[in-house]
Amino acid sequence: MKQVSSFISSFSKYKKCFLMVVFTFVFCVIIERVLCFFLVSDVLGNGSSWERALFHEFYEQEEIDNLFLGSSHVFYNVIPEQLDEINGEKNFNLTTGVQPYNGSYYLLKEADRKFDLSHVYLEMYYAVPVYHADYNELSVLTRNWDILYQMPFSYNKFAYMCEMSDKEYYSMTFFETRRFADDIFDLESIKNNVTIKTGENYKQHRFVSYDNGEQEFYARKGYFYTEAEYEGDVFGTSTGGFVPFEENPIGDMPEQYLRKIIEYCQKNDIEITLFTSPMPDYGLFGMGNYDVYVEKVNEIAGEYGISYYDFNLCNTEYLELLDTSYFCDGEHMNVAGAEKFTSVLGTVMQAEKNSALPEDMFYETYQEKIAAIGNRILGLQYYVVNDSEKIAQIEKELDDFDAEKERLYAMHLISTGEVQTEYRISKIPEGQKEKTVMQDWSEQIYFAVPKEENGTIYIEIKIGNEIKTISPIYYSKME
Amino acid sequence: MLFNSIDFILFFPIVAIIYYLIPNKFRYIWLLVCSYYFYMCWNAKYALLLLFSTAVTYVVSLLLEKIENSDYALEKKIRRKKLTMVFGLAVNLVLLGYFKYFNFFTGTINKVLEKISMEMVIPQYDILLPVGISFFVFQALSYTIDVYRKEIYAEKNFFKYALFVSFFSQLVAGPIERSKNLLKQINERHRLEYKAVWTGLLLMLWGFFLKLVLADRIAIVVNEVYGSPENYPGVYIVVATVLFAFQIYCDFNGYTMIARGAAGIMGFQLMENFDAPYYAGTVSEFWRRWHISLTSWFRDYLYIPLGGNRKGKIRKYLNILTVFGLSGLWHGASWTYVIWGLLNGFYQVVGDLLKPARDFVVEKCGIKRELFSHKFLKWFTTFVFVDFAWLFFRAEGLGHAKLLIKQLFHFNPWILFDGSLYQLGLAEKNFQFMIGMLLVLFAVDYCKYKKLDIIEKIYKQGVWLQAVVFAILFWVIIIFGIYGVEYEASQFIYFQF
Repeated sequence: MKQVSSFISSFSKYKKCFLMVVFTFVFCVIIERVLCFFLVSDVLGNGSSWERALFHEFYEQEEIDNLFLGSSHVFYNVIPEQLDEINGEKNFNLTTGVQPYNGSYYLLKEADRKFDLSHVYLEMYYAVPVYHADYNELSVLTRNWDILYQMPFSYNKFAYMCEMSDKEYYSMTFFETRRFADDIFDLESIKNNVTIKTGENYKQHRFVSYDNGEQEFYARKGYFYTEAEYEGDVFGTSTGGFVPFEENPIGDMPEQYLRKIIEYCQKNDIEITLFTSPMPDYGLFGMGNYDVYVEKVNEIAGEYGISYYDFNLCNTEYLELLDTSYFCDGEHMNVAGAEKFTSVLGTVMQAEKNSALPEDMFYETYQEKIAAIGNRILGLQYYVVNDSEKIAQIEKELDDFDAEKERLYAMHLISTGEVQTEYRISKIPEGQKEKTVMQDWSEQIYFAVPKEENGTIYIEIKIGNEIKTISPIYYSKME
Repeated sequence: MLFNSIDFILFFPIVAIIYYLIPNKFRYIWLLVCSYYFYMCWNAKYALLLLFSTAVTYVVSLLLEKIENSDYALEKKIRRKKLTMVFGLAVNLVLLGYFKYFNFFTGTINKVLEKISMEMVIPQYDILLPVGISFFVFQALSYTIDVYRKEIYAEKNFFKYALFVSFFSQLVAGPIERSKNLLKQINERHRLEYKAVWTGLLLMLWGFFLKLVLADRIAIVVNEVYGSPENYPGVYIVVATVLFAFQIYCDFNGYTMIARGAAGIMGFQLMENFDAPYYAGTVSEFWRRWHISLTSWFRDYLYIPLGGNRKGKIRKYLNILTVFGLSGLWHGASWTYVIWGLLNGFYQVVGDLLKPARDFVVEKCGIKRELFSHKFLKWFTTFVFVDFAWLFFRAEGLGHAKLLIKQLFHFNPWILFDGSLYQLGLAEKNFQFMIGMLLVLFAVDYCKYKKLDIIEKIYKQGVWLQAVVFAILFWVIIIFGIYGVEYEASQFIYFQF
């Protein structure tokens, strides 16, 4: 009796404390939910509406055999339903924009928790480790947060959050609303969020393209598509110069997670294959030493006894994607390209299982492939010249260029051999309808547009008797 | 380790939980270990300095007591006690002087030598100022003097005394505790009490609010203006200086609140350091309400021993100027701090001299002192004087202070209304939010001024309302705090002292 009364008295002593903890927790959660609703934009920017649709479908799946992890080079280029038909298994793309390897690792664990995975295909887009060398960069954190928004709370998610960055960044990782603190005074943004979140598309987890209107669509099982074709016969790129790979092209942190992914699969009896989705060649060739990357991935794959297929090294007899019409932009495929690539990928997946992969399907090195495709134009670099010395030098050479009032562009043709070219350059300034020709078939590789002008530039390239175009270049007033 | 860092957020709960889990007789050891770890996170080597200062004052105090209890003749006893105390004080002051003032004094001497065209140059050294040295040295000094004065017994347990000097919650920026208060509590048994934990958490939250939401937000504007006064003349400097008055208050009071809260959770009651200072009606009243632990330290250990107000008016004024000049120097090794201190002393001297005249005017004009308008006028004028002195405190040197004062004389009041203030690093809504939060601070301080204990009032409310207060404060800090990826965890201003 004494013990009972002692227990009751001690309970009443701690009752207030208990209630305080519970009430504080409940009120904190309520406030957090309300703030999230108004502030957190999990469908705008970085195509998150697509991720919302993707993850909803992922958690609704009953079975997944083959899981694809990686970047947009999978969700644009690989069609799981086509693979289902080829291999008779359940394939799923759990891929997100420039997916960091730490994200891939925790997504793998998330999928393994829910499904009986038999094979993981990890896509190895070379720029992922380049962009994500430092996981504390806001750009990388943003990519990870895009994944976090869609994951229900679990120990796996908690571990992911803890490992995602250094602890100095935890406030943003653990409190979604903190990421949008600057928007708290932006009524327009709050209104926009409310409109989106109360809309039927959001409630039904439908994909809506906020950037490209009706151009892009979400199909099923993590496939995202567009039928639009690249506008131009030659790939154009505004990059000033390609950066060759350093000694370790993967970087320490990404490599650490790449190894963790492989080791996790091997420990849990999940087969794993590394692959790189094909890209237009101008970037890989322009970089000059793409083989350094191929060697490094092959080295890691060899270390673990797993396969690595770089489809950029695929013999064109098996996969020929040199034409711009297979792409929707300078990196990703459209439906035509994806169907073609998926078919070959499916064949490779099947062949790998049967050990029946043709020996000549992949070149050993990228250099071999370039040698095999012969003399070709791969792309055109065009870029604004910012080097004042260079500008002064060109000003002396070009009669009608005024460095004070105009910005200077330079062009550089990316080709596998020597090619004689001439360029015709026209523009349509904003508000005008007719093209103005600035340069009419000349070898001159510099041209200029007024600094105070907005408009569109059109470049045509004459190679022999053939005339090729690149996609229009938009320019705007210099700040 | 800063209070506003993730390390402290992880460190403190672990310390507090283990503190209550272990038997009482080991708790001071645990706190001592944690306190040294806390200090060593900043610079491990300088923990030896802290240990040295502690050991010297510990031994000196024991000696003082031994001499006191000895059979020496009274005169000899007094002489020996004095010598021992002076030794203890000198060792600590030499430490402080070397680490904090060596380069300041040698730099000043070099400048003078240069002025009189002497080619001699005293070498200067790259000395890293040990964080909180002014605080722990002053705490050790007060203990030695208290033992000398027989106001307390010397602590026999070295570890307990070491904890008194190094207690992590007040080690680096005060309050400068007295042995009569803190050392006594170290010897007491602290039970886990709901109210103590509740109050401590609320104080900590309020401290974080003051630091992260207000002080660091205000700092953006102040740093912008003070960083390039040539671009921001006239009213810009007035606005920045007014804001700085609140920045330093929120920064230092924020630290004190977190320190008091953290100590309170473990059952320790640290002294109040601020008592609604900007509601002071005179500069001397301001100093009774601002950094109370330091002001009272100077009063007890310098002003009164110098004669206080007992040796005539001139001596009293000299004492005030001495105390405030040294108080300025205590804050930092720069002439701007000395000027700031002397200016505050000067205000008080002039205030005292003009008191009869002021009383005469009030009486003749029939002004009722209890009227709000009269009080408001006093608050306002006191604030103006105190705030002008803050300009020297914030200036980065005498040249900078001169430039700021020169730039003050530009007539551009329209910047208050044309949106120019929103170009100082805080956009319109953010600036307005800052003003709104300052009004909240005014309201809370007014309650304090009126002796209304808000914490007690909230505590008496229902549990759900208490929880709402906690939850709202928590989220205001999370959302509106200036910290994280975009901002470096900014130090508390008083850490440098």
